[in-house]
Amino acid sequence: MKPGERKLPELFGPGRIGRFTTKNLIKYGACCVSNYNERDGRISKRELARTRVIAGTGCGMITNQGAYPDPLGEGKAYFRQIAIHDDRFLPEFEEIAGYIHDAGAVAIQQILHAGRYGGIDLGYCIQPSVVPQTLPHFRPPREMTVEHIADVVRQHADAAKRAIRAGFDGTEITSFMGYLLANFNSRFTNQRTDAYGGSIENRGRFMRELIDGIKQATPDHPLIVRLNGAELMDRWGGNTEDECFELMQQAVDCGVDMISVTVGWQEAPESSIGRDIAPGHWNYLAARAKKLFPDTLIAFGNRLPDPVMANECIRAGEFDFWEVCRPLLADPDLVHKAAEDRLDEVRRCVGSLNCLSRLFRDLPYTCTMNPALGHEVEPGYRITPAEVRKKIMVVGAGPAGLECAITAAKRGHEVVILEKSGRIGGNLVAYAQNDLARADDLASIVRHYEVMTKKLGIEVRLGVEATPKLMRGMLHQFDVAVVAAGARIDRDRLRIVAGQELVLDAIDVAHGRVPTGREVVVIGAGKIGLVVAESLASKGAKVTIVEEDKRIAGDVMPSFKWRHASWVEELGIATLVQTRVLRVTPQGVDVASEKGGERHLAADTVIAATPRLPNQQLFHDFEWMIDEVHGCGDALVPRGLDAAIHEGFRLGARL
Amino acid sequence: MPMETPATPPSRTKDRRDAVALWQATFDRDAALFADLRPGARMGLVARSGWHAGAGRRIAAMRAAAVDDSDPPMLAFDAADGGIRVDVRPFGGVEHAGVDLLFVAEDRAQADLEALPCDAVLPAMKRLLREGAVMFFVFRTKGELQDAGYEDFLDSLGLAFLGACR
Repeated sequence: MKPGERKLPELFGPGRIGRFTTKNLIKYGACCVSNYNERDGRISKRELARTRVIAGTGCGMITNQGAYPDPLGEGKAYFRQIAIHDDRFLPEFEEIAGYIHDAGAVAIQQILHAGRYGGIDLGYCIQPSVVPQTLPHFRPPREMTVEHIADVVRQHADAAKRAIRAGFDGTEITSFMGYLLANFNSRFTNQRTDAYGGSIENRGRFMRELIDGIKQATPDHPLIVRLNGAELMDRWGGNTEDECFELMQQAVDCGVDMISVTVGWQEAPESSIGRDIAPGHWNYLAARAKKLFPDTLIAFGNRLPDPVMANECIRAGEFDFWEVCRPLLADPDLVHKAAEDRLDEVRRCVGSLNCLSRLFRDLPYTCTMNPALGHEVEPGYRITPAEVRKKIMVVGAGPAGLECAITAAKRGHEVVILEKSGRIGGNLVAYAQNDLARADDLASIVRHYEVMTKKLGIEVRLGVEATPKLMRGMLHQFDVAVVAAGARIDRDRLRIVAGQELVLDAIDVAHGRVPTGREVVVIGAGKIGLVVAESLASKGAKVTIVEEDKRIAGDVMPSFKWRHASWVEELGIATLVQTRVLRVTPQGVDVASEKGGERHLAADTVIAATPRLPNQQLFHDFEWMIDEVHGCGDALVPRGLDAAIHEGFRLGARL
Repeated sequence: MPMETPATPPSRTKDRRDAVALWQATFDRDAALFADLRPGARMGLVARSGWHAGAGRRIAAMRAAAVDDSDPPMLAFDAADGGIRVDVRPFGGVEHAGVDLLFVAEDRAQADLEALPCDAVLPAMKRLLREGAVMFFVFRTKGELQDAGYEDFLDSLGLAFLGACR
């Protein structure tokens, strides 16, 4: 037994589902489709390479991502979702089942008919009733006939048989997060008056038929059902939590082998898995399921990213299997690190929802924390031993520089980081200090880099500013300089503003380097401006944001814009868009609206959060002083955390 | 969840006239938000007690055959002449509403909105959407809504234009 396994004995104890044993109680959840595949539903090489990594995560049970079961694609939710409605797709499924078995895990294939969120290639989606969409991403609904329902049940059963023929041990159907099964179960989308609607018994009929159909088609193989413990749609006529558990009872009565408890619909008006939800928040749903259905396996993992916490939940009898997906996208070695008692090395999922933001843009998903995700098939993303060991100087200990440094060090290079401030982390430290969602998620990234720089023997010289003079004193000591010096607020934009010398820099404010008053005007409503404004408002300041653009949050990730908009509202922050600053005085700010009219905003503090400029001077300074000069992150083009980490990784992987 | 009913029965004709005037003033005041809307674009607002979105095709078809004044009222917001024209129409179910977007307000929320001065209506609408007291349905795809010029308005209401897995 490995040292970490001794510390987490419940999690790493063996399990059983149906006639299959599992080496531990960790289930890799299908959670979301990758969008890496062919447009016709065939599994791509890119997907196979990714799945090989997933198979190697060390989970006792691995669920392959959801495949749509119908030839028309009514069940297809994503442009590059995989299909399982025909035998021609089977060779790649066989390959995936093989990877999973080679890794000693139980292989489960999810069948995903998206219902209300489906028909992505069609002009419509199918639902129990014609309830219009609340999100414009999805297609207008058509009501299913009874014959159509029977066809869909048969398609699921055929898909299950196909999965088993491909070598999978069991199958899974899913209501998460608002798919066809959920549409029938929920009163929000099921307002039929026939045998499939009305009472909860009737609404559950489709689910019971699916379970019966699949069980009859694959009698010797376990079937898992993912069901909402809470839809978060109840205010608008959806199911209450009590009704959700009544539906689980129906699934239990039908002999389902495992219930995976999930939370929320995509269109629910509140958060379920974002960074603003505390880890463990939804555990009570799993505990209730386990208490009600002690003889049925319960899997759970929504917003539960920590194996130590999962171990405790299993010990307390709250669920049987820890179902985990996004934390394993962020760090595919999470389970191995837990087993080896190296949890301090884990790259945590920080709940940025970059993955889902991209899916809603119809792009393949990627991960802020794992630059290699989705690129496993490409040699340029592999960390391979360096052919020639180089001595590398990285200028700047922000995320880009740190990522580059640890990647290069893993390849065998000797790396020294020069950081002009007294600590590592760059502006991410300031972001974490002001973040209202979950500061610890962001701080965990810095902690990860602290651990890894130490473990990899990277020398970090703090309080050292890289300058041409410094470099002249170190000529021929380094082979490579990586400029990762970040970006700065573009104060030149305020040059035309009278009194601009009274304006504080948002980055200085965020780092706590300068004091602020009680009446604040923030110039710029991008991410930095918003974070500073929200933080100050949460501490009691009266804050107004002035933005020249039409909208706030222009550079914020799509799945997080709503969160900032909501905080601005909740904290009473006034926002003036299409408005420019005319002058700053000791009494405040005079602004002019594009619609016409000038006004004075009283303020004792004015903060510049205008767009940023890259710190690129060192590229020119070092050009004739060192063999190779490279750059990454905001020093090239100021963007967000994911771009910084990804570029740092890519550069480190090829130096 | 049982449908909410208004605390007092409305004096329908007068209330509708007042509501039309209020919404017209609201849209006139914030005309810039709707400047990009194509003529023919239309939104609707119905009270929750009058909403039967999930009635399904069969019931909706029956209603379509017999839409009359006894149907619940829908405030219709039509884009025309660079602005929005407000009118009241009978709401005969979602399939026949003929709108691009439909706001469904809990009865109390609608009453609250219509008691506000026109400069406070859209900010209050935004808050009520966030609180879930006003629900919002779309009848066009993302691309169609963008082409029809809705992006500014939806953004001003804080609605996730591209989906919001949270």
